[in-house]
Amino acid sequence: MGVEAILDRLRRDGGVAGNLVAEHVVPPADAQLSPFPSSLDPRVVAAFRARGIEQLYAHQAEAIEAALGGRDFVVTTPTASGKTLCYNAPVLHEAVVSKRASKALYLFPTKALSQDQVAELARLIESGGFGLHAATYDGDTPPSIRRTLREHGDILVTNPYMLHVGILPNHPKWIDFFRNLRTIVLDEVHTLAGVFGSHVANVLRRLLRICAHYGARPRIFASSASIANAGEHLRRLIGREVQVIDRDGSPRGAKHFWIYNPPLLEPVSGLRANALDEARRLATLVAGEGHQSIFFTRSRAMTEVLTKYLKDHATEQGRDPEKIRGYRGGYLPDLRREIEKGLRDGGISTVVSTNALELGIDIGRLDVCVMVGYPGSVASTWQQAGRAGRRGSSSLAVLIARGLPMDQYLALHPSYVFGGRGEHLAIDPDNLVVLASHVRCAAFELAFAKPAVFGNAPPEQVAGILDYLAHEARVLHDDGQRYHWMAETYPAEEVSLDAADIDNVVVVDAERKTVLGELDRPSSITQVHKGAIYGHQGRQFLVEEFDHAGRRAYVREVLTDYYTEAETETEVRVLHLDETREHLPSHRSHRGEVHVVTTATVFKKIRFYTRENVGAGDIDLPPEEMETDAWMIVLEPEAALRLRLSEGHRSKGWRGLGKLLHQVVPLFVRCDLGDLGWSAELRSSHFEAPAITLWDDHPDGVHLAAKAYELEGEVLRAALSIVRGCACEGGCPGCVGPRADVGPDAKSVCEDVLACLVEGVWPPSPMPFAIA
Amino acid sequence: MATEPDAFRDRLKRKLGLARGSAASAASASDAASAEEAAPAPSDAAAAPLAPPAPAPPPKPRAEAALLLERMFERRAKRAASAPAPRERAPVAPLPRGPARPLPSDLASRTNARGEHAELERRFEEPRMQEALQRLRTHGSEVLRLHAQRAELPPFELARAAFLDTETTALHGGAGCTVFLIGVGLLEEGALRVHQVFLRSPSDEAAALARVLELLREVDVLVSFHGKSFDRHRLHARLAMLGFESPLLRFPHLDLGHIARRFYRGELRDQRLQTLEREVLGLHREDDLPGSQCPAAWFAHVGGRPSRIGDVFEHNALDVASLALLAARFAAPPTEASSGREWLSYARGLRLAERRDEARAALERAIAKLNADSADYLRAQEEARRLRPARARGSPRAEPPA
Repeated sequence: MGVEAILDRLRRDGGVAGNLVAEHVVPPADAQLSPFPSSLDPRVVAAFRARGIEQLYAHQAEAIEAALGGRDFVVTTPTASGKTLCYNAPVLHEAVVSKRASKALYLFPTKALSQDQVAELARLIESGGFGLHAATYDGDTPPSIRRTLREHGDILVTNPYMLHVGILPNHPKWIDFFRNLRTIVLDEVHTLAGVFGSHVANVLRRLLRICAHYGARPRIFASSASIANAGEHLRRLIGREVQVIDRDGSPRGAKHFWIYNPPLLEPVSGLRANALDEARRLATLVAGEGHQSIFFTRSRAMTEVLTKYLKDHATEQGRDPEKIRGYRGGYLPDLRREIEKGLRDGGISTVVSTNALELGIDIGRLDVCVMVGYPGSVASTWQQAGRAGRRGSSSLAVLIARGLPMDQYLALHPSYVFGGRGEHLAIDPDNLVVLASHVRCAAFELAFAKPAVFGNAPPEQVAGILDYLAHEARVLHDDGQRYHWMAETYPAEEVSLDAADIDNVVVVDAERKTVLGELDRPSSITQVHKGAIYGHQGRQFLVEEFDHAGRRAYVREVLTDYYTEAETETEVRVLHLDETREHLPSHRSHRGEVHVVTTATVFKKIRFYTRENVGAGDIDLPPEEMETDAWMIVLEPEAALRLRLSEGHRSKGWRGLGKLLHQVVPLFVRCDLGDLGWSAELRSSHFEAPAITLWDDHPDGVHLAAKAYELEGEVLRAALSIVRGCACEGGCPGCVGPRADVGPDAKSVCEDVLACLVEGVWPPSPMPFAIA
Repeated sequence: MATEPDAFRDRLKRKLGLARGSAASAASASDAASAEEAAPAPSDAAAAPLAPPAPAPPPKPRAEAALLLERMFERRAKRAASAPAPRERAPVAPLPRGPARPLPSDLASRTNARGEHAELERRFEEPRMQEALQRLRTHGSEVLRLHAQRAELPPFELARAAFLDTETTALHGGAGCTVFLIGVGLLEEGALRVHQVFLRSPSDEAAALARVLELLREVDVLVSFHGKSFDRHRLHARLAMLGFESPLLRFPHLDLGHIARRFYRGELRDQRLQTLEREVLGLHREDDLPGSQCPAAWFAHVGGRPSRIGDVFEHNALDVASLALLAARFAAPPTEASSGREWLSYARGLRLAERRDEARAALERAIAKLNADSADYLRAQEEARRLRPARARGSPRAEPPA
């Protein structure tokens, strides 16, 4: 069925049409074509022609010209606009012209993406008859072929983790490769954000330092989803000015982007129909066998539940349920490959996925995309919506709003998404903790000659770190001219790039004695506790035993009519305060260490379809714990009284201030929202007063909250100017949060509190009758 | 001396945004702190590059950054120590016990085109060594080659072999693993001469490596104990990093560790060199510094602290001497007293050398001596199958070239 017909059907369906609260049409665009640049080697042109590519899109030609002109570039055109060609063409050109004397290193954020890339390269190499070797080199590469790849690989595809812990510390094995390295390709650089991005930026400093040691200065080609500050992001990431290529020349059919708000069930309380149920209802109208659809959910569990619903429905309709598949992280690689292939060749008509399919894994272009819930950022929303859209025909994207404040805000203010150009990405490669970790790794790799240079990191900061490592930590020897590594350890092993624990939990099918999948330890306490239902491809498995210490969960397939949902409690305890500033009479600020404990407490059994609660159980597992740095703002009781924080709606406003600061701090310390945790308590048990706590959501801290503490004055001033400058009426995601979350008075409460903290505006003493 | 780092710390603190924090904590009066606080930040930041050494704050014992780093690395160490299932890793060596022993007094400084390094030469000519050298002269390398079972190992003269053992700073390899003492043993008339090439500090490395290459110039084959998978790769990596053309991976390599494993697997507690010394050669070392403690001794020596660096030389020299003694032990053809395993290894070597008749005879001896329910007995059966005439064999598997 064509998309136009689906649109028609939706508009005419009485139960649905009324819920379509906003529509945005991205008009169709014709291809802007360019011939192959004349400087591109004819053999490479012939290889692309053999693959059916006769002409280039304008942005591809622009990228190739930049590359052949010796410039670095980043291309930020939408999903499936042919970004890989932008770097594959110049890389192949270089290899062919140099008669295989130049090497290229591709860096992809995930292993799945590398597989895809290598397959595409292999096809190009074959059709050109170039005799080049392109291969992945990552943790899955068998040791027996690693040496061959190091010595004979022309294009190697890897990921930041492997580069960090496997390749760079062993560079003497890679000398020929590094000596001849001409190109580094960074794909999906929008994923390199926050603390993770700051780490990767330092891994790249180490890479370029080693290249320089062997006399190479590779060029860097990057690709990214649409972000607001691509050039600036690349400058921070690699320390170079790059050419930004954002003029999309690929053809597009019209894209209809709708926001769907589930109907109100109880107008008084504002309760709306469940988004997942609505997705199931929509699926009967938008999903089918004649075209391809993708459903994005916000969690692995929801992916499994919706997969089951859609398979059940197909079975009832006498259609083949195997054409409907789930897709998420934690599936084993073979299963993922099979699903990707099914999507490309049309064998699968509907896929339900977590954001795992948001990145550029090649699944071809689909017709319909349904997002069950706001994906969390404008950039992600457009990435997911971009999965739908074939050239020459229309596509449909539907965002189903959940009952959450953020989603409801979008339903009321769709321009927040439709008009958005993507977020600003922030990284801070000079973050002291991150930088110091990598200076240590770099010192292991090559001695630092004085004066020490480490990419564009501030030299005095690098010198200070080396001085510390040599004279206080004593892992370096300072012989006057150089710092030499002087320890038995392997520092890269101690530095985790994304703080994600590497120890995974394996899910074992106890009956069939096979591994079903895996998941990270922090989420295991809510996903595979004893009694949990573990979904897999829409089937249900009961967790019979969870060996937490051994990191294994044993499951058995069961027929149930329910799934499970676990609840967690997060507790933040102050361990000690390292520094305090008094700003009397309004407040005190503290920098200190906190203990963050997340405990899985109970789980509920929830019946499919009806969502009845049909039982519950306790979870008895060790909590996830970490110690980390925090910044705390504590109001003086007198100030709290005068600000009338305990009065009705105003009490919710305190939460709004926490939310606001959580948004503002990343602007100053250059991190991702997810790198910081926060809480706002009206009566903190530690301080016995209203307190807002912001902490580094990384074990041991990464100098974010501590830096925010130092910059407190600026952070609070910025927060005040945002509240005062925001055009919204009673709160929005851009300032204190949506009204539904923080109450109607949040904006004025925040303004009052901030004015008090920043400008010393002392509110009048509350009138006696106001209390009565 | 004191002002320079203070100036740095001042700049560093400004850069890190720590300056105001430290002022606040240094000044006891809170109003001073809030005055600082009120100062607009941009001017503060802008002032930093213009006036670097500026009016320095009262000198503090340590930079804020250093404290932060210390906290970070300490926490990491703490977490690593409490990790539930640490990956396999050599335990951190305890501090070397025993009295500090300085560098050997006859350690000589040497100069070459790449700079300076140190070297110690010593001759082993005790009766025990004389006897071993006599044995090696008598039997040559032939039996050793058969036991090695490596087609790529050509016939060689023992006089052109180097016995190699190195001391390195880590077991895991990687670019940060330094080879700081290289022992090269060469056979000469009536003695084993051991050259110990030493890095007094990391800056000696290029000269030391150049010297090792010089020592190996007249050498055809390397003899080591598990050096095939360890020592030669470490040396190769260092040479490559410093831009030398490394011959280490091209050298034919006789690894006595492989032979030892074949002879004594399951029979001795382990097949480490010192176990073999004790159990096979009947030697024992006094006051030996365990190899695991050698890196710490070198770190201390380079850092100018008291160390047992002298014992490292002793340890390394004994390792090299043991190589020669062990080679002599393996160099003679098996006798009536030899074990079934030695006969089996010998038979297999003969078969690979296409000396099939001799191989069959040796194999008979092996089978007669081996316990019928041992794994080696099965290996011997397999060997017998391979020794049958080609037509009689079930699967026409290609033999590796002899």
